[in-house]
Amino acid sequence: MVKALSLMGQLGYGYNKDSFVKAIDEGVDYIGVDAGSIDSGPYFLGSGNMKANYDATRSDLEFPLITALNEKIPFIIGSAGYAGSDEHLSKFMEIVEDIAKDNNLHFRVAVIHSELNKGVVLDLLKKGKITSYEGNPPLTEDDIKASTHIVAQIGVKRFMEALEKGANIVVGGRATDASIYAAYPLLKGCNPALVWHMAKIIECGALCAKPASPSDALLGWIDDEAFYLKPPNEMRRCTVDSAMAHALYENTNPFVIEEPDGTLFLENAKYEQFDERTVKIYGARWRERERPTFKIEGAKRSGFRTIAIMGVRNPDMISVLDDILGDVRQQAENRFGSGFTLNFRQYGKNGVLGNMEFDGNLHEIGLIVDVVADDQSFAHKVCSVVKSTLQHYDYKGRIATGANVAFPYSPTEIDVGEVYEFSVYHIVEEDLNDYFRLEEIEF
Amino acid sequence: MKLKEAVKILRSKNAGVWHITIDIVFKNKELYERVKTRLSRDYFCTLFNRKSVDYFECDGINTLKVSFLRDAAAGSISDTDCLGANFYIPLLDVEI
Repeated sequence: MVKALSLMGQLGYGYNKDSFVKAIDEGVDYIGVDAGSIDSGPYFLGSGNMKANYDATRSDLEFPLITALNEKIPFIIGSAGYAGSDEHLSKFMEIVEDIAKDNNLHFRVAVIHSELNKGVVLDLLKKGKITSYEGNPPLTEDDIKASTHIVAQIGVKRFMEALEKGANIVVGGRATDASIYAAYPLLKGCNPALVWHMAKIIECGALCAKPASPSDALLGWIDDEAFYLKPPNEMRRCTVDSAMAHALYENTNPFVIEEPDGTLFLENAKYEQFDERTVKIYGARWRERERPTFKIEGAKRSGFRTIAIMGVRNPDMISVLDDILGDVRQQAENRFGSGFTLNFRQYGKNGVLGNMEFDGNLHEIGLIVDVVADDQSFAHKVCSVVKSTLQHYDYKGRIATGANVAFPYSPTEIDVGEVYEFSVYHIVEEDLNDYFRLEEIEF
Repeated sequence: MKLKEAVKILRSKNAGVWHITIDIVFKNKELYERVKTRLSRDYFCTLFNRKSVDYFECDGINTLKVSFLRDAAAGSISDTDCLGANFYIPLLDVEI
């Protein structure tokens, strides 16, 4: 039997120390945690900044890391620093170094790099090795050249190598969530179908339990016939429904999950309630790929953003707001020409669903003037002029000549800073493992 | 009966950067079978204004799943819902 502890769904969300201690006391073979994602948008990969800041990351990492070292339990962290570029890895490793220094600890960390050199990606594109991901637009040379960072979601190979060399702490760059948890039990010879299925569910921590939480722990163990999931926290339980629903989560296909190293087929998976808080799962199928394929991710800077937030409450103005906004946009274009993008977001009307909105009820609109331009000062200027045009716009039938909108904030214009967009999200059909440098750092 | 009354879970979520996936997990087999015959791939294409969608009838787990490409990558300047977490809203009150 091999027993895994998933510390939580996402490092930095605030882990549950009691659950962690309880699980360690019960005895586990390895600890894993996913520290990143692309879910929060392109900013983090593009900018090289971490999503969970230094303090949030350190407070989730410090005690588990020290415990893992003291108890000699392998601790595997994936997608370190959120997006896994070298910049993210180095910011993350600064935290590890500070933990080592402040606790007078001496240890070695295996670091796995996942950032790809743009020249390498351009070569792969030229060789025809890069394809669209499930129908998204094809990758271009310009997309690659404009990207600030391009990373690959690494598979299980380098994690296994690091563990085989006896690493106690493994810090991986961008990795598939499941690879973080699959490496150890695969190394111990567990059934790959059970391993990958468990890894796929356990990576979100107690998000697959009831009540669900991404900031609490989950235990998973594998024997010869099945794997089992149980939250250490007694207020939660894993049920057939909660585990099954989680296998669907974030996957476009409910039966097939693609990993760099192979494909997991779930159509015959069986879920049984093992005891009150434990679910037993088996029956998935795993097909190893002859040659691994990788998903690569990149982001590029599209400009700088300034926003202004205001409320529109006057019913006469609301009834003609689309016309007003159309005219204000035209005035901005006449005045400033090009070099900026102006978006009006009308919360209360269609701010969330856009064209899909079907509910016409409205009495108040939260309006965001959203300007993205090539530099911050220009974005600020355009936003400021658009805002004041709206403030004083003399629409037909206007009787309230004070100001048209309510501003909750002074100043009204908020400089948001750099804006990024995803430029790469494609499949590479070539073994990239040689590019994923395994580095040993000693503190 | 409205769809929201027939389900245990009705949610949408980004699946990577370019896709939205919607999970409709029914309370029981009877409700699942009833709705399955009324909804279809075409229904979701029309509802979400897509040329095509991936549509899965998961009989074993009383679940319908729909996945499709979004108009622009998550977090683009024109995007309104980075996590794609509100694409299920038009389904809530569908009469079944």
